[in-house]
Amino acid sequence: MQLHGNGKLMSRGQDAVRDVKVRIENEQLVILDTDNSETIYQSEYQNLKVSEPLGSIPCDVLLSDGNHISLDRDDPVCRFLLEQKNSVFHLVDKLERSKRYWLPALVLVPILFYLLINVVVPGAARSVAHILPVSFLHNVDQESIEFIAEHVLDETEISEQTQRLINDDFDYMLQRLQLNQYPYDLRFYKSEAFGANAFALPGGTIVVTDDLVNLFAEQPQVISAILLHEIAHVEHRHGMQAMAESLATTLLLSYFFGDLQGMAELFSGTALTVIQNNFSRDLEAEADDFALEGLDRLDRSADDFAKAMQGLFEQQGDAADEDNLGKYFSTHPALIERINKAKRAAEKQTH
Amino acid sequence: MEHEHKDETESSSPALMSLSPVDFRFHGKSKEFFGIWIVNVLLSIITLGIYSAWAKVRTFRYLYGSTELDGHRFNYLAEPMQILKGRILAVILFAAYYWLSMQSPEFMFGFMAVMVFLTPFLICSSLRFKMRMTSYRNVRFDYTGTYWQTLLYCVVLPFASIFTLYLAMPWVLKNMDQYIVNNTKYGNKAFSTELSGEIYFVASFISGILFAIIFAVAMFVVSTVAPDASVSEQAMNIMTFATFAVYLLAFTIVRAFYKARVRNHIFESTFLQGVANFGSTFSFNGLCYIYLTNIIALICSFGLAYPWTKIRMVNYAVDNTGVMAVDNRSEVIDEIGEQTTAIGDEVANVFDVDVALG
Repeated sequence: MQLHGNGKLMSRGQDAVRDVKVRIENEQLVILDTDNSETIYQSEYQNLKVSEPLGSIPCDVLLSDGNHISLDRDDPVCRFLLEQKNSVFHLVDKLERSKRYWLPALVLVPILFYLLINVVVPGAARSVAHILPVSFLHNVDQESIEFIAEHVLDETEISEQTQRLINDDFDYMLQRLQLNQYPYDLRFYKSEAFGANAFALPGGTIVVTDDLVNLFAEQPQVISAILLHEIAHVEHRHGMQAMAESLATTLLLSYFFGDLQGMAELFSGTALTVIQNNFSRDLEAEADDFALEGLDRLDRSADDFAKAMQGLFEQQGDAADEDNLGKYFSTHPALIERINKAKRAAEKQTH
Repeated sequence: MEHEHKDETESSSPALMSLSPVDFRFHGKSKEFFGIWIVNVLLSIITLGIYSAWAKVRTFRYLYGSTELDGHRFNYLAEPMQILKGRILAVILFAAYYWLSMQSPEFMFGFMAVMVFLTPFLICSSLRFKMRMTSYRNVRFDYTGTYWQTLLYCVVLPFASIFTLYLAMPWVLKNMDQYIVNNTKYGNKAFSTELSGEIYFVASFISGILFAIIFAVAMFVVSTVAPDASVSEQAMNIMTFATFAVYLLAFTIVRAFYKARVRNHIFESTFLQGVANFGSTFSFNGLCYIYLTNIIALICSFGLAYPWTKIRMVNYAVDNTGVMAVDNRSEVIDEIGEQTTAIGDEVANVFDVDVALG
């Protein structure tokens, strides 16, 4: 078998680049002068180093004497030499060069990226959150509460008596539901920033604001229903999950879009908030289910939870004019659904 | 320390040698690059980012290998594993920082302090990596900046210029650029340059004025057209978006102006001792047109126009860069190659990790 082609010989010295003829015959690569067909170089092609194929970049062959020969991509000798090499990049090169793979790639890229962010990352975050030791979570609580208390929380004005009442029921619920894995710690704070609200830190510290206690002052069982929802966040390690997820998402976005710096910040900012919103909705649903189930096991009515949601919803509505309410609905589209779910659960209980 | 190359410079001033223009061209094609880019992005996502190091090498190899100077192509020699190591390191550092700052907010301030001292190291490493992985005619480029000098030029001086109300910033930028160019080498030959503070001051001053004018005019137009922001939430959002868009527009135009001015000046006043002189003909209009159309194309195509914008940019840069080299350049470069291989290769590959932090 014989193959003929043309190349550029790159050598040292005066005539650094010259056009040459190349030939493959019986296991040998032969380089000849273009004019008089005098052999310039000859050796077995098996031991020559050939560059990976890439686009229409000429392929570069390192000869045994230290010189290089450069061959066009579609030159028969170049194609032959590349075929001799067994490399995964032949496949990559094929994909890159054939237009029929472009469209599937175009469709797959956004789909896979979406799956990565919405399925793979949450799954991984969940596993990571469950691996962490309780002592670590407790440590995070200690630091965070100190930090938050310093900036957005004030001393509570709730009476000792009311605090004790709520705390006793909190302990009773934990005992009845046999939840003793975490060092639970219920705290009361006055807070302008949070309004009527309750939130749970990853290690079992649960914060209730004065406004919330005052809002349901007549219905302590409603406060307990809200506490159950917060307990669920701790039991399912939602706090850690959210943190691990935001870390992973930030990492991924900056990893993939690191090259488009300005755009990346713009994009990752918006993407993160969108993702966080979706994410917290899933977690809220999970915590709601836990709370409804807990109420049932405590022989209490799921309606307590419906009342809690309703109360918070109305309180938001009171504080807002129409424009604000619209915004509230757009950020909490699931709130009505949550109230209805709790009501349905209550109906089931009475049957 | 700073003037160790001075004797050589004086003995072989390029003005005394006979120079001729060298053919410089770029063969990259948007279509071809698009195929390479999209397939590599897909593989990077499938492998959860691991393949991205290989993708980077292929992308760079394509751009370098499509650039031809005097009949020889440039080469990108980085090994994907070096890049992957750097990326893994960056991910670990970032994750560690995140977790630790969650455990203790005070940690963040400590980390900031550490970052100040780490910055010169990162700048040096990434410049050195970039240069050493670039080769032309079997001779690698190199970067020889040291930690303390980089700390001075890239951290201390920019920080100090705050106390001059940024009035000294052009001078700081001039020194930074000069420091980087003078520490860049081709084989064992250093590039040398003497930049003019005046050009930097004029370019910066006009940039500032230009930014203020564009921003003011554009905001005036926006505020007459747009609804009153105090009326509703939606109007507020439109206004925020418009402000951001105007900022981007003004920044892009000013960047084109500054870049054209400063790049031309740097190239025209830089030479490689006894080998070559350089020239650059970037124009404000040309660069502005490319920048703005690139941004529009990226936004309208959700980033898919990236390969096209990249190829355009490199094409413009190559078309507007001039290289004048000595007539016996082949021998000169061979000689550089022979003198360099002995030193270069043993130092390379030990600490050569591509540090990629943002």
